Amino acid sequence: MKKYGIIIAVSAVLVSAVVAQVLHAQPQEGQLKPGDSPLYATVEMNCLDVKMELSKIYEQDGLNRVNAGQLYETMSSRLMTRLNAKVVSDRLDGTELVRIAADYEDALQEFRDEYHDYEVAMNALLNADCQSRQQAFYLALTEVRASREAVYESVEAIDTATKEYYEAYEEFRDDYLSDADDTPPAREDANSVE
Amino acid sequence: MIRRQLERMRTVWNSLRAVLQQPKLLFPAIVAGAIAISLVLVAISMVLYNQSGAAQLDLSRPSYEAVRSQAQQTDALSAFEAPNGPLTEEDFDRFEAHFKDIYEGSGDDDTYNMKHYRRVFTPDVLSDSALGISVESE
Repeated sequence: MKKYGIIIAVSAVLVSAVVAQVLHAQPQEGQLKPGDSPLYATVEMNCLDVKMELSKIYEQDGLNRVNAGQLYETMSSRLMTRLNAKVVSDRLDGTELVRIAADYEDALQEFRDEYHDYEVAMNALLNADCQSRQQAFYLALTEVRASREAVYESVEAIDTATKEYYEAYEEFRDDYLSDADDTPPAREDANSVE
Repeated sequence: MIRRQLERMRTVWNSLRAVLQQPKLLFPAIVAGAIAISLVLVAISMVLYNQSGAAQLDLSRPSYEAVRSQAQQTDALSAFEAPNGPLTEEDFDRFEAHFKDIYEGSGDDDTYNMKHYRRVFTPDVLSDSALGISVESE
């Protein structure tokens, strides 16, 4: 009886897993959603040429992601963080610098997340069938475009934060140096040897 | 309920002990166990590799073979060394030089800078005209 119970339980788990997979796949396979207007259009493309072009874009994007990521990380860890740490340790007023550096980190994390989603979508698109299912392929392409748009917006946010940081840095520098110039020179010690 | 579970676990453990005590089955059982543990750890590693974002940065993947050699080295990038004493004008000048080096670039390579990479992720490369796709709406 125990054996039959185990067999039935395992069978039930397997069957439910298969059914869940089928139910999950069905909306993507045939059911149309309100935003599927491209499916009603006639799509003409040379499948091989499009995939070749997408492969080149995918390759270049991978390289750009690595190089750009290095620059963004360096700007954050080797410049902003070190200057902010120095300002804080010297008990100077660097509130704006710290705030903008935090915004920069948020934008950088947004870039990482958006690019992750974009790369996964692009990888799926490259493996999709565009010979026999051109309209579904085009629908997936529009979604990849939206993901790339989100990546582009996150890059713009990083650039904006970088410029804001530099502006705040210039203001901090000018205030600091002008305060240093206004500080009167130290008086000579009366016991100093002449 | 808990007692039944404990009894079942004890039964399984006794069965396993019986198997391991048989000399002929001990070695295959150890090998099978090592393989099973390895498979589980590899599965966990692959999940972490994909979910952590490391897969997007891994240029050793076959699909990135053509561009692998073009990856830049981080050692050449600038770093601001904070001074031990109070900040001076020279320190600010050094910071600005490092900042411009990373943001605008310097030297012979005028593409390895933030201003250049601001434009590389434009959505235009995926447009219909760029990919040679024509769409006629019904």
